[in-house]
Amino acid sequence: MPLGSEEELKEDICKTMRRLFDRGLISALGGNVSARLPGASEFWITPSGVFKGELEQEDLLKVDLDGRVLEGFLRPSVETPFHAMIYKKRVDVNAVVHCHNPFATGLALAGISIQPITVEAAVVLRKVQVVPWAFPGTDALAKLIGEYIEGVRVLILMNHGVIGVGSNLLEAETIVETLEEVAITQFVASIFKKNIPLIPEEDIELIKKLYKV
Amino acid sequence: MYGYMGKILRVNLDLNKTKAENLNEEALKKFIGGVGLAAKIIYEEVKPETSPFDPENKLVFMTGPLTGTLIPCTGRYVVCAKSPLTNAWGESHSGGFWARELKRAGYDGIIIEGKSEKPSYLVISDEEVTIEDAGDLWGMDCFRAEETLKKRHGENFKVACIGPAGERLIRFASILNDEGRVAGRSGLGAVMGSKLLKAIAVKGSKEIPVKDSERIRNILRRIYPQIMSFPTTQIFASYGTGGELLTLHREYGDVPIKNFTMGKWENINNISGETYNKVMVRGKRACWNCPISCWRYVKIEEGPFAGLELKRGPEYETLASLGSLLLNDRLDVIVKANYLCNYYGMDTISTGICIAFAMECYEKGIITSRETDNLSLRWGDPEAIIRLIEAIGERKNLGNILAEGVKRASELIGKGSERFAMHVKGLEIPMHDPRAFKGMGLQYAVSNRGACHLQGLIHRIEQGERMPDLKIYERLNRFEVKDKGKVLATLQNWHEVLESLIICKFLGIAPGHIPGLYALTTGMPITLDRLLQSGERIYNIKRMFNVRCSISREDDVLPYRFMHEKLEEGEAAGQNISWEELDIMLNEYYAVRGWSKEGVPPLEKIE
Repeated sequence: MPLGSEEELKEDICKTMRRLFDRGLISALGGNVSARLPGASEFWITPSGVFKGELEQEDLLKVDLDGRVLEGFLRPSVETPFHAMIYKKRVDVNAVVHCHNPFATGLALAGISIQPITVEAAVVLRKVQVVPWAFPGTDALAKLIGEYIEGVRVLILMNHGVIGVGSNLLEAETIVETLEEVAITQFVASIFKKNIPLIPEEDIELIKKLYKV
Repeated sequence: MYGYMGKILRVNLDLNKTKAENLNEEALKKFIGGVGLAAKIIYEEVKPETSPFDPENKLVFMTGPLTGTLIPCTGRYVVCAKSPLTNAWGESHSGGFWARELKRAGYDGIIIEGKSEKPSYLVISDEEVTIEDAGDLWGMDCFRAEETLKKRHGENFKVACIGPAGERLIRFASILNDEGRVAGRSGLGAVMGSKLLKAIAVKGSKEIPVKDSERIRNILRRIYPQIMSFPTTQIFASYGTGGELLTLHREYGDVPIKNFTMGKWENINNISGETYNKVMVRGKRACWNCPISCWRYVKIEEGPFAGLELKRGPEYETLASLGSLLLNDRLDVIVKANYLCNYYGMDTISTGICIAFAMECYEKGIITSRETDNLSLRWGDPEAIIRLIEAIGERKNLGNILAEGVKRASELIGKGSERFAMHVKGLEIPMHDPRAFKGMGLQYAVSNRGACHLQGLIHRIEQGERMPDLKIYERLNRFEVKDKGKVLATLQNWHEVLESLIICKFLGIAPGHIPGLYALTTGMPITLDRLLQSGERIYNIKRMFNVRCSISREDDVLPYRFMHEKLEEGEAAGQNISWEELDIMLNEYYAVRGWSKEGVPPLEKIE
């Protein structure tokens, strides 16, 4: 990935937030996004408590991997601890998107796991784990996410929302968007049919082999 | 300079002179403004041997860098002096519009020193400052004094004044402004009275300079949804502060009843915020730039007090102190009693505690109708409540003893009454029973002004509120003592920040937003950690003032009742705070604060 400037990064964070808000994956007060330049030991994150649909670049905060604010005036996202934890654990990750996907979170609450019902579900999401409840904004939640984040692109947080990670913002955004698309499809199918047809096992095996899942 | 006006007005009543002094910018970096700056001034200028009514005691009114700005809930001021109730640190806060007007006149604060030869009042109109003769105002109640001054000088003047209680040195006399906003605690109205200063009328025409008001406005617009979603913000907006009363009673057994001897009361609903709003409230009012509007405009429609209107009706503390504490379930009596307290200029919390004390003395036969001027001090009796308030305000008979505050009254009356005189260090207990929230017990014990529920609000954490910005993640068990010291110290430091800036603690704004708003107001970037360090320094300088006034660990105690008597019913039944429990909390608290075992901070804590 080409190294961009911090200004581009901030602009991209705001664009990502706006798109996620418009899609209903981030609500007025729920959800946050962060990103860093590859290899950087600090990252830019969205503020807490500010209406999410109208974020501006000057609202963003630069924080270090211990969550200390280096630049910016507003209150950093309360979930800064888990963003920092992910960057510490995953050198390959440069963007973290935390959304409140209604369908994905709802299915998890109902005890229904995300199934390989589409190629995207199998390829893009790979395995979708559910992280047990921990109070938002706490170090306890960050620690728990640290235990689950190895080797995955997406997590569902019980009673809370979802996390998508990627090497850049578009990748992380793609993950949470795909998750919601799959969750909606699965939900719709489950209304009309008890046993939803999955992608045949041999194709899944092939996908797994190709993608080393 | 942004946020601050850059001047403090020093008024010497001995010499009849006033002088505008430059604000010490170095001090602002350490003490922020508001209560922090007032604490620094009093620590440096008031000697420990000075008694509260000596002319050498100084009365300091202070605003903060956020006061009067477009940031919501910034209409408050703080007033500080050595307190006649505690002989130690005294402070009190009030909302309304007076504080903003003082800043618009060009001053961040006023230091009153000395004593006037005759009753006087201060008139401030920008640079024009005069000390006027208050001969005709002396003896006037607070409402009339304010009205008279507005008629005399102009309706656009804002007035802070004392009533007859302050003039008569009633030790819990208050200072009123804006038709019933009250700086009630610590008896600072009596300090003002001792200086023969009746009022301060102020009018300003200046803009309060703000570094980047456009950006603040843009941010505020987008954080309002969160601010207004905060639970207490919603409750206070809907019902006023009384909206908490039923929950605190039913869920926690927190509301004091019959001088803290009962844990449950079937009549509580008669004085709840919901009932109050339904039968008594005629409208809502707000301080400067406040989206909450917790004031209630009330009018009594029927009964013996029909027609009485109060622009600032009873709040939670008053509903309890003149209601449940006295077994009085009549809202009209509470409103009338509140009116009388404001008429004389007396703190409703201290007044309620003194009356409850007298009623218990009467019930136990310690005082009889001989001492009460034939008044039967039966619990809940409207006549007893009303007449006793008048007796205190007039300093007549038993009222003259109660006017000294419950600590001194119990020492004068004796006969074991000290055991139910509800105070810490001389300041009467507010309307939260610490047996329901043991952290509140610690807060009462160590608070610098004596029993104070506001400087920490730890009971909110004990109800389950979390403050991740302050690293308070876990709910504290309300009946346990572990970790209370640590959490309380953090909360107190934070509250010193709020009261130095000054921003109302009812605003549901997360601490993490404050550094940015401060920086955009003053142009001085700051971190949350730095603000908290200032908060700690401010807390310590007040403690140091108290240490010099002979306050020590021995004074960090609770009334006998909380330590030895258990409630028999309600949600805090079976609880007390034993010596052992208090010791555990104090030890932890002192250790976290870095104080000695005797409760003395090291000097470097205030540097």
